[in-house]
Amino acid sequence: MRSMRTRALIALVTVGALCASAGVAYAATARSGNLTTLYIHEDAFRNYDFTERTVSRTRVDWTVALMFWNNASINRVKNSAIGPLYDQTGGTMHGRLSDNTNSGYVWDDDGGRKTTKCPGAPFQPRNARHYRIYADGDDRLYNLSWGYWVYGSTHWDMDECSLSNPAWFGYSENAEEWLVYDWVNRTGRGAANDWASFYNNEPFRVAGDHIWDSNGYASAFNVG
Amino acid sequence: MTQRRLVRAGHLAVCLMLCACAPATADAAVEQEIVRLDTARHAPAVLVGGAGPKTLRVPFELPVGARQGPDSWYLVRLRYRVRFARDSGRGFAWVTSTTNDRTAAQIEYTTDRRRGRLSVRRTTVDLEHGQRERSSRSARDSLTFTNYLQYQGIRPGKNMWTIDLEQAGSARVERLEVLGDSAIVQTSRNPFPLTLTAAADRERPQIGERFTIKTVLTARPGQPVRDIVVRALPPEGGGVEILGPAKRRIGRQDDRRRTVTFTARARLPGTHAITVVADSDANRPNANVQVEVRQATRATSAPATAWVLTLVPALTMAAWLVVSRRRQRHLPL
Repeated sequence: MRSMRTRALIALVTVGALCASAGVAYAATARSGNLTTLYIHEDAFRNYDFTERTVSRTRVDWTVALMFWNNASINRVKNSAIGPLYDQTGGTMHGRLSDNTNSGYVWDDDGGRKTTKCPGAPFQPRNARHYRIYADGDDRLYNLSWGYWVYGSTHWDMDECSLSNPAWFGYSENAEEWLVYDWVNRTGRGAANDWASFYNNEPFRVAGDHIWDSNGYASAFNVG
Repeated sequence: MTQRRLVRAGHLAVCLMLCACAPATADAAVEQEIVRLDTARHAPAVLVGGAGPKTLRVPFELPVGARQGPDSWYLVRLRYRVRFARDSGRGFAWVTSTTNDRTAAQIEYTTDRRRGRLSVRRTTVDLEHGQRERSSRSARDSLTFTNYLQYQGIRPGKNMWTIDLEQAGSARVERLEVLGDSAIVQTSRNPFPLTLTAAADRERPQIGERFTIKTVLTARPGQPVRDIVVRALPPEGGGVEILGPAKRRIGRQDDRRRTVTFTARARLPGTHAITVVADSDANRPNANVQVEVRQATRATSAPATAWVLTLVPALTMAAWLVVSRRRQRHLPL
């Protein structure tokens, strides 16, 4: 009885430690010449998010490939009809941006939402889709073309908490396509896959546990 | 003497009359309400929070050719009072205003309970002020919010203005009263009074060559802009470098064109974009200047080399002739 209890306790602590370590960020390197600032009227943002509050192509996490527009805010997107599907939180990354007002560039931090908290853990799916979204003051930006908008990145997490399989992260293009599908089907609002170039094309490339695959085009999601 | 005084008085009177008829101060904008809630018989409008969004719809018409900018602009002015339920819990509520399905007002409330007491955080974002927020422990709030409509939110003919109330989580809006002077307003005030254009004097410089980036600034008549700082931002990766100051300060800009120049040098081959940005007390325009940097070509130095090579045998021949003539002079008769 005591040994069963001990085993259960050890398993619980191990899983807990794995989940805690799943939030650890390992920086990747963006393709040379890709990292840049994009401007939409007088709003500006970096076309990658970062593992720390440093603008460096060796400190990036994923390509920015999502743009929620019209009536978006961080909370509106997360509480939309995709909320019950992407209902778990993830580790925090950082976006760099500026809006029309004279406040200069600011950082925004977001853990985003994912479909499974700890993929690969016992009794959990092996994979999860994960997105993060950024805006000024953690809410939203506004311009006359996009209305209220936020931007973000997405990727797969695979075997993140597995005890037996190596973890890997990536395939952003596929995760983006899934998010378009989920958005259209669950919210009833439109989404345009690969709507515009964000100049961050990352052909398939394996860098440790970081699998790059992004065609450089962002998708646009109409938020009502 | 009396006649002179009369003439001076007359001149003074004319002066005063002209001054009284002079145009209004430079910054005054002309505004006109296009549709107003109480005039459209929709006010006061009360919305109550519930399971789905609550919507107020107000149709309005605009003349042929109506559009957002560049000379005439449209704003939403939303004025309301809101009251949250006493048992309201953790969640969100949104008051939004949309024209033709394009949102131009979005007030977000985040509600929570701390030590049993309701706390409400309100955030707004508009084109001119960016984000503003206010936190309170009161269940009541009132606001007058103004913002420019989206470009696609305005069209000639029939338009539809909607005001929505939504809530999520455990936030409970007991009552939203939209007041009668809420309106769609037309204004002459340009939200982008400062404009900036930029161009390079050489679009295809060679590596090592210098070139100039010429930036032209101007402000809308009647809307001078202050505290301007213009910056030239080199591209990532160092393909082009800015020589000398990359930042220039300008105190005030009116509707006369002003030119600011930056000097740059091409360093690496390829296509590179230099971004010029202006910060000001109004808006922050920017422009991209693209240059294609070419490898330095050897053909340009060939003629010089060819000349040198051609001259060597000629010089050698001339030297031999000089030497041989000197020897002839020294032969015995």
